Amino acid sequence: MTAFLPGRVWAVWLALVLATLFSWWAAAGRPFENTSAQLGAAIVIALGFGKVWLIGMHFMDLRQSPLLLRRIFNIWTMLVGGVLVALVLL
Amino acid sequence: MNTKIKLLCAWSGPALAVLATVGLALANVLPVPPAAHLDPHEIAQFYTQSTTRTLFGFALASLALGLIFPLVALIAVHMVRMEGRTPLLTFLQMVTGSATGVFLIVPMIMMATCAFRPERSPELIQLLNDFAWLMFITPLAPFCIQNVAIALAILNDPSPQPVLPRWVAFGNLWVAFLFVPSILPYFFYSGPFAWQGIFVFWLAFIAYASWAIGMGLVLRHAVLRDEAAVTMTPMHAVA
Amino acid sequence: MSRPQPRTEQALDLPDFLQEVEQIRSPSTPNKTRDTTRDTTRDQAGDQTRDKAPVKSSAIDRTSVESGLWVFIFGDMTLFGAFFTGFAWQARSEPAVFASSASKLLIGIGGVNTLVLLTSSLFVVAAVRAMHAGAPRPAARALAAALACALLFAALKVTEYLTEVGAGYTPATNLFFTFYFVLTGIHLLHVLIGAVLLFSAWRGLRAETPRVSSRFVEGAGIYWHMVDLLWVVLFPLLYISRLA
Repeated sequence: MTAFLPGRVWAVWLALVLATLFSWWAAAGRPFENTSAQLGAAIVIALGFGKVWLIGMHFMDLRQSPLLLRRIFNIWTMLVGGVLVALVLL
Repeated sequence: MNTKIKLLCAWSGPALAVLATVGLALANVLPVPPAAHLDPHEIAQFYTQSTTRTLFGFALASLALGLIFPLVALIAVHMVRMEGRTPLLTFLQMVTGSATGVFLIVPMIMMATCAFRPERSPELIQLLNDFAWLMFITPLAPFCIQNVAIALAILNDPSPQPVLPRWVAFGNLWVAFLFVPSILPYFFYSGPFAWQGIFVFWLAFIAYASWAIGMGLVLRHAVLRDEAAVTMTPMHAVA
Repeated sequence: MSRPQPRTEQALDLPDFLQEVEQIRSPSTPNKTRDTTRDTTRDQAGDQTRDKAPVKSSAIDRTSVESGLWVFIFGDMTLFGAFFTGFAWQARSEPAVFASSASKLLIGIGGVNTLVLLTSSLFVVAAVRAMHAGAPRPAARALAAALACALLFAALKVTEYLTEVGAGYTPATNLFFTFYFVLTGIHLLHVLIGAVLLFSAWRGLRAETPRVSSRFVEGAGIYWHMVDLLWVVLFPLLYISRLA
């Protein structure tokens, strides 16, 4: 069944896994403790919305969808992501 | 004539939303309902500070919420055309739809009872208030089952020209999900998931009002379309 | 808006009405009285995928096959967007409580579960692509793998709940745990519904001649990706408060 997956999808999955591992390490290892914990939280949440975008475009196939669907999805991602990052930072 | 009655049933959805909102606002329930964490005297004061206005508001709301019944009947008439000879989901929708009406109207009567005798002991008013609000907010089963029944009937419509568009089914499934947090007020006195909380009262209120308005308008469109199809009126007449 | 002409007696009496239903049911007598004036472009798009056999051609645009589904997807995403915002807003008012509570969560289970869901999404992509390539058997195997991931996620989540409740942390402990249990609980409900959808798609594709429409499999797939997508935000949001 893996024969049906093109390299692009594998690459997206790998990127998602690496981003997850980074967030996990950031939350468990507290690398931002000496700099800015708020900045660290904002980075991890922004990274989460980057993952959301990848899932939408490449797993849900929104990159080939009508413009309207893609636009609504992008607006949701930017709006909710922006609000959350702002709430964590400010 | 038949079309006029159907249109009247369709408009009862939006009318329900508007009139019930006005009634609840007059009763002071909007924008902030009597919260679960208030003590008995605060609850009693909520109901007795302007008794006449409060009672008038609940009277209006209880009448307006009855408008759900014509809407349920009109939904059923459309669903039975999707289902044909074994209209199981149609019956399910009618049974649960009727129950939702009762679960919305009875709490109005109980809240009116709170305001009915201002001299009643505050503890008793609080008891009635608890009962009224838990009944008003938490019985989500008939609501969700009704939404899912409508959705399944639309999605299984075998006709190449469906009675109702498929997005209406998915809209109903979404509304069913919006009601899910409404079970949580059993567990909280305060916070966003208590009965007065934003993710319970306001979410369910907006979801239900939007559903009543949306279903009313969708059905109005379907009724006009069917009549246009029978009389062969050009499309621009129903647009 | 001008109302159509009121028509003469062609009312919806029950006998007439059942006749109409029968006409709709039997494909040999197409009902000419209904819906002749409607815009049919969307319906035609739907009809092409209404047959039960998987579509062989690798259709480019898979998202608009069931365009109405996006009403639900975006609607549900909006609900969770409101949940996320409510959580982040409340976290600002009690940062110390949220930070110390978040550090009690089992980040190992949360992290593993994220990887489990991402992998399940990969299997679902494989299943949909295999189905479109005319290979229902590999598609069914991929769906089975995705379903296994879904069940693993649920099992790990329940383990995490039991551990936390065993340690004395319940939804009533404080506002953080209220949000934590409610948000992950509603997400878990989505996971379980998604598991039922994946199971139905698997059963349909596994049969000798596939008994499930490609539209259903695609819809279940998009729903499952949404479940994945919501968790991908939920994980950093809930477990990240320990950074602050």
